Amino acid sequence: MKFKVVIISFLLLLVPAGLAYADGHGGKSGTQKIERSIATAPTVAVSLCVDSGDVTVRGWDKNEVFARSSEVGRIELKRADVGNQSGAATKVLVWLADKNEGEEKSGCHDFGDVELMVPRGASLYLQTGDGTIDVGDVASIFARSETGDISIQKASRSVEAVSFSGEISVENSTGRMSMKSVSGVVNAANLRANDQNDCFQASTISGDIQLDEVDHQLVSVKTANGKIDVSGPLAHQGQYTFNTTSGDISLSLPANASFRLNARVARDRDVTSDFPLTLTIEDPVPVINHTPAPRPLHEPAPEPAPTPKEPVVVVVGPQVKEIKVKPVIVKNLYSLRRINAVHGSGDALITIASFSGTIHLKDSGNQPQ
Amino acid sequence: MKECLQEEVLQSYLDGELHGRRIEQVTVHLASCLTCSDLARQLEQENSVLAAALAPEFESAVPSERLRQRIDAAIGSARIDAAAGNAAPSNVHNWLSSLSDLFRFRPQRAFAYASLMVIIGFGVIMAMMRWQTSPTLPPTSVAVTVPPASNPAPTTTPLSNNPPRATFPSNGTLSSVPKYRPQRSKPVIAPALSGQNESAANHVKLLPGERSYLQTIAQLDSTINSEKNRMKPEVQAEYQRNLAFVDRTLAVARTAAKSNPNDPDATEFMFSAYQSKVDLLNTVAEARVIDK
Repeated sequence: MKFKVVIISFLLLLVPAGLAYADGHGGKSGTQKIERSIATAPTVAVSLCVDSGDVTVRGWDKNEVFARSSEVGRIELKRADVGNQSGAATKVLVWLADKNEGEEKSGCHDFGDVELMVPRGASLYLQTGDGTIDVGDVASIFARSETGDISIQKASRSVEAVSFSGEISVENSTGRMSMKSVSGVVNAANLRANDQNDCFQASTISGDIQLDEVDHQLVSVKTANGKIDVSGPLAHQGQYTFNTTSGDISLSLPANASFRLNARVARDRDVTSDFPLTLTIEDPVPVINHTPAPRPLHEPAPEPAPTPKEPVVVVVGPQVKEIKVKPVIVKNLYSLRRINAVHGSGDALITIASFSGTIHLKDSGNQPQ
Repeated sequence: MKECLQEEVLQSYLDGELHGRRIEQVTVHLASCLTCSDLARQLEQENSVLAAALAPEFESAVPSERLRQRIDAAIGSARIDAAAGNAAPSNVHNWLSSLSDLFRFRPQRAFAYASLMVIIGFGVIMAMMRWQTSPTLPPTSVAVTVPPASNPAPTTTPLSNNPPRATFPSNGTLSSVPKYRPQRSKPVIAPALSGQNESAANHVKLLPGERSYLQTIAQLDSTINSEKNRMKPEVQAEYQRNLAFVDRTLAVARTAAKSNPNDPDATEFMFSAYQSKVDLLNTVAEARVIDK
């Protein structure tokens, strides 16, 4: 009898729990997704700004902009090309309305995740506060996020990404590139230029910058306190500028890399090279060579350190009392030295400026240049 | 005039208070009237007796001696001023007279003056001792205010209050990097430093080209501070952290540039550090525009 009572009580407890579980899942699955679409030109410009929420954009073959969200009360795709309302839209504003208020606002105050499908030739203007931006397979992107990450893939014409503390990642894209972050990490991989005018720029304050297989001829990387890591072959007659104040710089280049090195570094910081560098400078530089790399042809001897004066010893009776006269060493702090060197035929030009960081030229192996 | 003169008239006659024709009438009457002439003689005798009796009283000064001296001094100074043709205001006379009064010593005042002299002497001795022990300071350096044209200028991004979503390029597409720059509605670079920054900059010897950076930084800083309440806490914390980074770097770079004035690389590092700070402030200021 007691056993039956226990079982019945247990079943009675299970029923409300099951109902609550079903209600929760039913509510989620039953959330109404709002979808809107509008016919556009292949090179339509699309603008979207949200305060909080993730933005995901993908390119497709249709000449149509499609928007979908389940977090907002309303989505509107407004034409911004006032002069030509009859044909396909060339400018589209994605307006969101808050679920609670039900009215659109004039600023970037909307909350909610949004998915967009746009033509592959579209240009995007995306801004979010703390949400992430994920874009793929479009022509041009301007993306800005305060604290959220920005991820861009397969951009075909240009990328400009700005983040305050979020990570910026651009991969498998072509065209002109500009990435700016304050404390977030910048990752760039497999990037190419469409023409000689396309340049690559990346800058941070304290975030690290990592470049892998960036094929632009004009590359400019700057950070105040972050590290710079570059790997991959150098572009033919490429011009690379790496500027850091206190971060370290590491360049992993193929063994047959051909470059001219123009470096300005602090005198007390290490400059390490795996490559046999031909120094062409007046200023003597102690370049540290890692084995098995051969020694530089003209490695100058390091400057001799100033020898301190011998201490004066005065013996008084049985006790020995040392009176040390401190040598006067005039040390010029933060003095800089300039290194000009060549490896190979000197095809590319690498300009490095590091105020208090180290420089390391790594030989990454026998990859083709 | 056949009737005798009244005593009041005679008294007035004797006092010299009658005038003109009345004096002649009284004189003619006294010459012809024995009664009136006898009465007049009696009045003269009485007057002489009274004058002799009250002579000491008339000769003594009615005001006190001190007041009389003050009056005499005031009259004397007025005469001197009048003679010099320089009429001074009366308050000056009062002040002078009060000043002269200060040097009229009484026992209490003399004691007060002595105490004051002792205090002043003690202060002078202390000041001299301190002056002998304090080091000699070099003259204050003067700021360099005009940067040469060859120096790098800070690059900033224009800001705007307009909501950014309503902006598109003119042709609807992006030819290269999308220049999504809202219209400038307020200046970013101030024409000059203001207030405390200006005075601080004037007391620090600036290297050529620094001032333009300081101006830009001051303006951006004021823009950010004016809307600091809108900044999200996590962004504000990150901003402060990076600002500390940049300021520390800037201080080091500036020290290096000042200690190596002939090294262009050191100067370039300093300007690079300045530009990093401008970039940081500009990024934060742009973020504030979005939050609006």
